[in-house]
Amino acid sequence: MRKSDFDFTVPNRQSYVAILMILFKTINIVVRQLIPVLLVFLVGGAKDKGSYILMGVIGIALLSMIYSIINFFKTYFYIENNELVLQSGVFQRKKTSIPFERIQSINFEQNIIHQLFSVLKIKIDTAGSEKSEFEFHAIEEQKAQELRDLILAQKNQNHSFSTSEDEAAVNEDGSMVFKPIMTLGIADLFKVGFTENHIKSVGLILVFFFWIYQNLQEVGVDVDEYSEDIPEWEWNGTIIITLVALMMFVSVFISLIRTVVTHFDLQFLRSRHGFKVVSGLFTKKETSAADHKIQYISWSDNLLKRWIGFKDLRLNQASGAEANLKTSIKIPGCQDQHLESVIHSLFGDAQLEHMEVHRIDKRYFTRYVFLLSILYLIFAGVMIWFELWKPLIAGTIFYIYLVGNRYLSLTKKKYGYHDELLYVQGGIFGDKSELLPIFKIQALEIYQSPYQSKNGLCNIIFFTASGKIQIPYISIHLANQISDNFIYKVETDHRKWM
Amino acid sequence: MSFSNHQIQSASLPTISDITFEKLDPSYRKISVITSCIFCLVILIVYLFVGYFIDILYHWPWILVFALGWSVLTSLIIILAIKGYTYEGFAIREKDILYQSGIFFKSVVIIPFNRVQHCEIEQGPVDRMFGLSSLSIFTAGGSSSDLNIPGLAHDKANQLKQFITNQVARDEEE
Repeated sequence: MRKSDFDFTVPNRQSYVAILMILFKTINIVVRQLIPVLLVFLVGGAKDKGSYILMGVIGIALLSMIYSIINFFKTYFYIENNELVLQSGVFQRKKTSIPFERIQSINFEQNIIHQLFSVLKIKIDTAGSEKSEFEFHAIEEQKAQELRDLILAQKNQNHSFSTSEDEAAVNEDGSMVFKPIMTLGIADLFKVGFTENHIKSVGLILVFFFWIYQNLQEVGVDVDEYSEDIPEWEWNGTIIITLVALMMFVSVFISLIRTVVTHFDLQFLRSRHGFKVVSGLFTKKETSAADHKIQYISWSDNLLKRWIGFKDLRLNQASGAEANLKTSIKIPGCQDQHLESVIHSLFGDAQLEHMEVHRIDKRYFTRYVFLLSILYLIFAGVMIWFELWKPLIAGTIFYIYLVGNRYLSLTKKKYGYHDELLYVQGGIFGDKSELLPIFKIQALEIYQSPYQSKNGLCNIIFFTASGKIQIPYISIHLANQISDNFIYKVETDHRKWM
Repeated sequence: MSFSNHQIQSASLPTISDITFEKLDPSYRKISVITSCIFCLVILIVYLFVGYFIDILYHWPWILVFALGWSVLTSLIIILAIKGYTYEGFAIREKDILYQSGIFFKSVVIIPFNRVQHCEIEQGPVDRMFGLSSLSIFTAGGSSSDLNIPGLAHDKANQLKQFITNQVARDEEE
C-alpha cells in the first residue's frame, strides 16, 4: 500500500473551506425564504410587513450561522481500530463510530466552490443504522481520496475471505479499478436534452409561475389588479400559435439546460461489484450503487428517444437497513449495447431473448372504456342539456385521448419470467421495461376488484425494497401459479436481498 | 457453497388456492362495530359543533340532508363492519404468512418469513376491553406491503409473534 501523506489516527478537522460552504448554504436558504418578500419589494407594495419578515429571517439565519461555525470547530474525525470516528457537538459532545464493514459506499460531490478550492464533499452511506448517511462539507481532495482508499482497502482486507460485500476492487497501490461502460459527449448530451419530455418542462414552468403568484398573494399583493393593466388581447389563431411555439421553445431550452447541468460529462463506470456514475457541470456528483443493493433495473424511452436509439436506464436500489429511503440512479442516453452490458454484469447470461412474453387480458381495455364511457355520457348529457358546446368538444377530445391511451397501454403491456428474472413491459407512447430478480421480492399481493373477481381476473403486485411492480388483468389461475412459483423461489433462495 | 438448480414440477408446489384461512377472533366483529359507531358519532358531534357557530346548518334543508346522509353512511359502515369480518382471515404456513381482506375489493398478501424485518403487537383502548391485539408485520417493501392483522386474542398474537421471530431467526442462521 502507498504510504499515506496524512495521519488519520489523530483528530482531523474539515478544510476551512467548509466554513464558506456553511455560509453559502445558510445564505442560500435565506434567499429562498426571502424570494416572496424580495418580490414584494421589487413590485413595490407592503413595505412595512416585508421589513419585519426580513429582520426576523436574517436574525434566525445569523444565529444558525454562528451555531454552524462553532460546530465546525468542534467537529473532528479520525480512524481508530477499523472504525471511522466522528466527534461533534456544541453543547453536548457526541461521538459516532462507524465500523468499516458497515460502510456501504463513499461518494464524492464537488460544486463550483469546491472545485475552486479543490476540496470535496463526502457522503458516507452505511447499512444497519437508523441514520444512514454522514456528510463532510469539505475535505481536501487528496485527503478525501486517501481516506476513501484507506477505508476501502482495510475493508477488503477484513473481508477477503467472505462474500462479495466489497464495493470496489482495489489495486495494489490502493487506488480503485473502474471499467467504463459509457460516457456522454456534448453532442449526446444535446440529443438527450432535445428528446426529454418537454411537457414535463412546461408543467415545471407553470408550477413556478403559480408558486410566485401564490407567494405574492400571500404577502398581500393584489396580482389580479396588476393584470388589469395588461391590454385585452384578441385571441386569434396567430397569437395562440405564437404562444404555443414560444412555450415549446422555452421548454426545449429548459430541458436542454437541465440536462447539461445535471449530466455534463457523464461517466458510467463498472467496478468489480458495482456501478458508479460521475456527472455534473457546476456540481460534480459521484454516485455509486453496489450490485447487491440494486433491487431492480428499469429502462424507458419516448417516441423521440426511440428514434435515435436512446434509453433512460434506472438502477433502483435500497439504501439503509430499514430500506425506506429509496434511491434510484438515472443514466440517460444509454444504448442497447450499454444496457446489455449492465444486464450481463448484474444477472450474467439473462437469456431475455428466450423468455416467453405474455399479454394481459384485453378486458384491461374494455372494462376501462366501459366505465369511462358511462362517465362521459353523463358529462355529455349535462353539457347538451345546458347547451355548453365548447366544454363538450373539449371533453370529447379528452375522452378519445384517454381511450387511445388505454388502448396503446394494452398493446404495450407484456410480461415474462424464467427461473431468475421477472420482466414487465409497459408504457403508452414510449416503452418502459422493468427487470426484477425474483429473489428480491419482499411481499406479494393478489388484488381483485368486484368486476375482476366475477371474471376470474386479478392484478398481481410485487413489492420490492425499491418500489412495486404490477401486472394488471391476468387470470387468477395464472396469478396463483406465478405467486406459488415466486414465493417458493424467495423462500428457498438463500442469497441476501441486500 | 455447492450450487444446485433442480427442476421443480410446478404442480408439486404448495399452492395458495387451497389454503383455508383462519378467522379472526369472534369478538373482533364487536370491536369493528364499536369503532365504526364511534367514528359515525364523531362525525355527528363535529356537525353539531360546527352548526353551533354556523346557524344555517341547523335549519332546513341542510339538517335534513345531513340527517339522511348520516344515517345512510352509518348503516353502510356498520353493515360493512359486520360483513367484513367474514372476509378477513390469515393463514400461517411453514415459511410464510398470508392475509386476506376486502368484501368487494379482495386482496391476498403473502409475506415470506425470510423477508420480515420486524413484528409489533399493538393494542388500542377498545381492543383492551375485549382482550384483543393486532399484529403488524413489516418488510422492506414499503408501508403498502406491511401487514396488519387485527382481532387476535392477546395470547395468540404473542404466540404468533414469537413463532414468526423464531422463523426469521432460524432463516438467518441457515
